[in-house]
Amino acid sequence: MHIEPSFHKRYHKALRDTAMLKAVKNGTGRLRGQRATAIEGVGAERWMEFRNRAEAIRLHVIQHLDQYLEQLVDNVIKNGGHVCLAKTGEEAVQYISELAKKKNAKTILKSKSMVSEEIHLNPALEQQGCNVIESDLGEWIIQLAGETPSHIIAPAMHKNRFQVADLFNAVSEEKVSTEIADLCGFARKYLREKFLGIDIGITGCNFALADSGAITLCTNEGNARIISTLAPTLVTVMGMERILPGLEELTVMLSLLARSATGQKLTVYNTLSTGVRNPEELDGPQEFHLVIVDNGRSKQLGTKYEKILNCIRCGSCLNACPVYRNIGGHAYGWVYPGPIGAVLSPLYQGMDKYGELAYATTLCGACTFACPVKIPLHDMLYALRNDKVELEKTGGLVEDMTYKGWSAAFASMSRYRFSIGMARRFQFPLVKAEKIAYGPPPISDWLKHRDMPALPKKFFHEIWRDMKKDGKE
Amino acid sequence: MKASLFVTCIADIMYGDVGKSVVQVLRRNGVDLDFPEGQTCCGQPAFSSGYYKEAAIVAKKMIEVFEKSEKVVIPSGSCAAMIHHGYPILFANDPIWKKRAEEFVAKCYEFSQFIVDILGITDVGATFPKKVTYHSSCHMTRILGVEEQPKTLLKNVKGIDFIELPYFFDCCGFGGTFSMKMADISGAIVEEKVENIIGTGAEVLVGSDLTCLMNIGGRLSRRGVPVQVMHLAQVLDQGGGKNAY
Repeated sequence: MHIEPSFHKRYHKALRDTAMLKAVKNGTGRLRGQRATAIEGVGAERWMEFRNRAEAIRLHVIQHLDQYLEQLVDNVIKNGGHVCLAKTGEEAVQYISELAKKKNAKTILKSKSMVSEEIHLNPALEQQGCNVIESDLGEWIIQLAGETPSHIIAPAMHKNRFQVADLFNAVSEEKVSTEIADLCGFARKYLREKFLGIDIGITGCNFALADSGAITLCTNEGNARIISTLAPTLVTVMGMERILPGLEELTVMLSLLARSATGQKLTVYNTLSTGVRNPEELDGPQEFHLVIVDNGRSKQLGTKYEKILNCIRCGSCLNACPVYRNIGGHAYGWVYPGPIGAVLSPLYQGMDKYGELAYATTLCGACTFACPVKIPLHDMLYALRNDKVELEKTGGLVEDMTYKGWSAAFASMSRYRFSIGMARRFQFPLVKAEKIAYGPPPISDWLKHRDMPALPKKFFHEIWRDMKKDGKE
Repeated sequence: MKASLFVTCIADIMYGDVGKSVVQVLRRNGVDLDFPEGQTCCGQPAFSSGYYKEAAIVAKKMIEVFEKSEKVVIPSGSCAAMIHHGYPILFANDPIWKKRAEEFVAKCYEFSQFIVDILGITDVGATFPKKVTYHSSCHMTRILGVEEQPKTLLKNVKGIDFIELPYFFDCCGFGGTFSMKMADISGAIVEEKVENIIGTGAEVLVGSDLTCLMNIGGRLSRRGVPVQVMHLAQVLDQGGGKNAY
């Protein structure tokens, strides 16, 4: 999938894609509606308690990440597993590719993993001849389409059932109808067959438990459970921050994750797997590899952005975001879209590449309030903008001049009043029926979609003066 | 009660009538109001664009201007939120100004918050027999935490037919420079808001933030939708109230 380097071009393309926008509005609308109902069920006050607890748990883990990582690694090895600590995405991909070579793997089945998308795992494995199949319904749809996920928990949210039917019919021998039940039925039948004869299974990781080395997988389709049961060799890829101390903390997170993501009380399948099977067990992998990916995460430790590592990838900030709802996920450019993506992308991949995303927000704060672990996302977007101005010494030539001029004028009442007086005096060529509908840049941007009221005959400070004069003071 | 009006730059420049209504409503309800000279803007435009230094220059000026005020009333949720939430960030590393900013923050109130929470008034005695809906502005509700006060005041206006706006909590798409930098996304967002407003069948859209109202009103005007746009103060200033002066 070709990705246009300019955000400006990407979102304009998105704004023209009416089928995609309709699907995204439906999808986000449904998810945030279900979430609201779920929170109503819990009660706003209790929900806040839950969030506070979840935030405290995540902050604690991140502050002691080194200790928890060590404990996790020790326990995974004790359980008979192997661990790869990958500094970069490339290192992680290389480890898994070599493993696939060693195992002479032909068929690799995957369950949903955003980190594997982040490190571009599939193309690397396909390049060496592996048949990589996504087993999550949404992921499989976009795999068939040759696309990337547009939503963290609903990767094919941008597609409607007609588009999905076209994709399915391309691989189906019999005609699949556009009815959702038929589409799901086909995917189920098709993918079930693929689970047999699997050489390597790859899963993501919702939470790794440090005290037991267990990997928690949450899916609504049960696909990750089948993979972790059937695959002779199991690989789990996780971001290095996705750790919890143990089961007690997990219970808090699971109830928050499901409610925030889809409005469910609990995800349908919550699987805890401790890796390789015991000699007396009949199923489970014979070999287990945990790949822990850094790829820009440890850089955030100790910075003002550290809390971004609290994220549990529920996607609720996407559904809450008016910008996401109106441009969809692909326009953001990197793997994580929406408000979390607008913060993560420049932090992990660099300001030069994704700095524009810090401006792809109305700063409305809906994301921060939707976040189950209370990441101050909109504050971080302000901070990123400030970083751009402070660290790069410029927020752009026009902006530099505008705000320098603005602060000079607005710090003095006389200069302020002089400036606005001049604006009122010289607005007349633009004013028609007390409003402005056409004008030069930069107000032409404003006027593209809306009118602007003309500056009135009297400013408030003049009205106030008159009120005093009339003895009304 | 003594209070000072921080009218905000947007009201001073674009919406003097709103300022006038604020004065009348507050006086009618027993407030001894003054208008300190030297006030301009809270600094939000620069702050939101990442220009903290430039914002701090103007913010310091406002702190000085209102130094002697007992309470400060601001007819704009996002400007009040800027002071409450933004000033502590601006002066986080400046102990002297941080203290002065905290003192300023402690006495700043959004207009409806001041009437309901400080004056303890929920019915200002206004009459407005129209079908009205209300847009909750983001910074006022989420950052300042003032959500119910304006609706309480509105619902107590005599003759009013208050209709809840679907998705009242959704952003209108203004976002400061966002509305110009990413004009087409902003345009798509405000269009959603306008559709929701039209759906209510309301004659009047009321809000507590003039920039949101300028955005929504601008779109309504461009589309020729005959919904009147009013600041809460203008509604509370309608009919029945005893003379302000």
